[in-house]
Amino acid sequence: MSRSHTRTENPSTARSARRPRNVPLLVGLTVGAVLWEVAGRFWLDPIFFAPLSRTALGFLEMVRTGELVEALFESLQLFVIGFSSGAAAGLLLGVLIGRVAAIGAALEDYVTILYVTPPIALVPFILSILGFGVGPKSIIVAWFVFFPVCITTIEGVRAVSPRLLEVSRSFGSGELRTWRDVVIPSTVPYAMSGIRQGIALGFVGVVAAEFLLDASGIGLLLRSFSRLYRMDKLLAAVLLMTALGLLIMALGRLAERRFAPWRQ
Amino acid sequence: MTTPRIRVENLTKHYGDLCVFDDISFEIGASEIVSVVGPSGCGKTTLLRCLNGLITADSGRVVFDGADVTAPIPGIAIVFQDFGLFPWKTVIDNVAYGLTVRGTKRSEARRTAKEYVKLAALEGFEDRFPHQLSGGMQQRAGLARALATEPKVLLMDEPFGALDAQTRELMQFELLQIWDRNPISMLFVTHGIDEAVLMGDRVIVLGGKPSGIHEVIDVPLPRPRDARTVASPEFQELRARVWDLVMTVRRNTI
Amino acid sequence: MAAVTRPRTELSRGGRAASRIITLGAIAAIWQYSVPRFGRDFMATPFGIARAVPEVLLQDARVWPGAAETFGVVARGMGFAIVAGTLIGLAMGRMPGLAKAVAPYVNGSYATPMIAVLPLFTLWLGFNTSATFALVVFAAVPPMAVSAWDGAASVPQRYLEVARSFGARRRDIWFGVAIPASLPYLLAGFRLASGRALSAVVIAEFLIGTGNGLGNHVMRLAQTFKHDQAVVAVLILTAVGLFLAVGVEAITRRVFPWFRRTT
Repeated sequence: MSRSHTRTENPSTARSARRPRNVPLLVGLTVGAVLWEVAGRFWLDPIFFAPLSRTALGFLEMVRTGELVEALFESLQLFVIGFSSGAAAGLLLGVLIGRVAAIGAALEDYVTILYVTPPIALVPFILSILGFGVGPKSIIVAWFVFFPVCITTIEGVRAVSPRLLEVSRSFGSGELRTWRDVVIPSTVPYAMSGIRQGIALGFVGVVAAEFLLDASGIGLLLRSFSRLYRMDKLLAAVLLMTALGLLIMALGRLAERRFAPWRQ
Repeated sequence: MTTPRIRVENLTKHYGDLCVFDDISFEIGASEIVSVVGPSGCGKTTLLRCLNGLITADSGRVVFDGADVTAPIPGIAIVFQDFGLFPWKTVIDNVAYGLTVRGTKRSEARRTAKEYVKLAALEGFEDRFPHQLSGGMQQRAGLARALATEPKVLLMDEPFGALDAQTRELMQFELLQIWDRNPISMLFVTHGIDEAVLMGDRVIVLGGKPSGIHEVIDVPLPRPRDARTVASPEFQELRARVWDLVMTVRRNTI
Repeated sequence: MAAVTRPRTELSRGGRAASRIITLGAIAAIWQYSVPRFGRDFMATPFGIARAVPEVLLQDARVWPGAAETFGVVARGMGFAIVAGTLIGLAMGRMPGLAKAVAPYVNGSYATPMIAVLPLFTLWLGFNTSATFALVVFAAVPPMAVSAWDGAASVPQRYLEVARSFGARRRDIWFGVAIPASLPYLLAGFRLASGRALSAVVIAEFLIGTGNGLGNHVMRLAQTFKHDQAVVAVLILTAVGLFLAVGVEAITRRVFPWFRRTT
């Protein structure tokens, strides 16, 4: 980010390449849809698969009966509780580790070690200590969210340009002003990218918690459809997860840009 | 030169065992520009930071307006080689920065900043972010930010070092014009020998290990200076002299 | 005050080591003290974990076979994902039309929480290691593909021009220029993919529940209230995760001395 001296006015090429929308895209989607329909109708065992048309009808039925809305709402509640506590803890600890040398030296290794451990490994412990309920499930979601937020915040706080700190010092800026002018603005984009990852992982955490602890929300839907061999609804639910995941990623990118308009 | 604006007395700085410079003394008068040249690593930049109080020297003093400089103070401002603009602030807010830090109200600071934006020929770019400007414009914003605090001494740390050759030349003349209108004391640290002679009333050549003042050359070229100054035989002669000195110092240092 | 206005205060080497030991001691002490007072008696404690280390690593007959099964699946799945993901990604990077057609599938599978597709895999493949393998592949291919795509799309045009101006053949361009130039991206992809693969295998083992993998073992130990032993088993996962995240990059740096991480 110390790129203040390079002059970059090109609209980010990587991003426009990542969001393709034209003929090849339509071809790709059409081929996929046709393959799905044909495979479902003529090739695959209908007990284990459903063509696109039936999946669409299954989706509509889920919407009509209200089970989908109810499940989504339940999952959303869990997400909000887990995400906000995980993100808050991650930001706080990230700033402390990044900025205060003594705390950083002491805690950073442990954060890294826990970060490389699959977060799902927490589940059996929570399950046998706390059992079922919203509380234990929120802890799991928070655990998923915490690490990416914390790690990127540490990175952001450390990436503060020493030149800008020098500038603020040369103008006689006090500690609080320096935080306001330098430390926070340069950390926010990093923290935002951590929060974006945290949102995506929190979503995974919600599904994991609802699947492995007491079933609820979207996890319950997925579980019961697969037990009942309702392939149409199961595929619809999985695809809905995909759509939600993509939506969350897109919103995250939007937020990231919204919070740093000064980046090219 | 009656009372000097800033006085450096026997300044010495070490980094661990390494002695950066040793026993440096000089003065800068009011409305005087002193250039500092010397080979890379001779401590030019460190010296400049000592003058601002960003770094404290190991021994010796820097006296400004009769008081020792030990920490950054309002009367002295720096322009950095890599501009040091806040990428998340617009041009106007970058220029107003020094004022708001000192407690001026934002709206008032912006009004003042506006004048300096005009002085630096950045009108119409007030609401751009630094990355939307060319290097030359960014450095004009850096200069405006320093001038907006109305310093009595301006410290220039190779201010045009990151610019391409043409822009650098243009900026030199622009800076001279700005200085003609508002002649404040200036310490001008640079790599460029032409630049040092063109800007300075005196040129200090640093050198040696540890480095000290090798020689001080008076530059009696008339002001206002402009492109014609560079073409004059007097300029060429001074330039050649400084060049020889720097080369000698380099040979002795390496 | 000193925190910001000076360049960040660096602790000396001894200071770092000391503050690490002190913190470790403090955390362990608080933990050890709190469990019997505020927790349940079966919860893991530092001493308990320390005692369980030799027990689990040397005497538990199910740990190493379990680890072999689990990491075997990870290795096979990652092997498959590296080849498939890199091929898909490089092809996407070199052929923009194809990239646009395939992008929704790559991005879509990247964005889908892997647990959501596990029911499909278990229905299709049964409650066994095939489903686990499928989930590992599902988790690891998208990050590999996206990274290889980024890498291939960002091979500096200059390198390609140099290669062509010297009359390089297509094969030389691929192996001499395109792949080395995208190596940092491939490595970043590997880090992401291996992390996801590790999560995938544990999720699958938790959910399928009938296997003998390390995840199953952790679950069983936790359910029979042997938390000290369960933590040690999790630490094996941590060690492998740490190796994949840090060790692999160190090895790459050694093999390719010119390699720099691009961030």
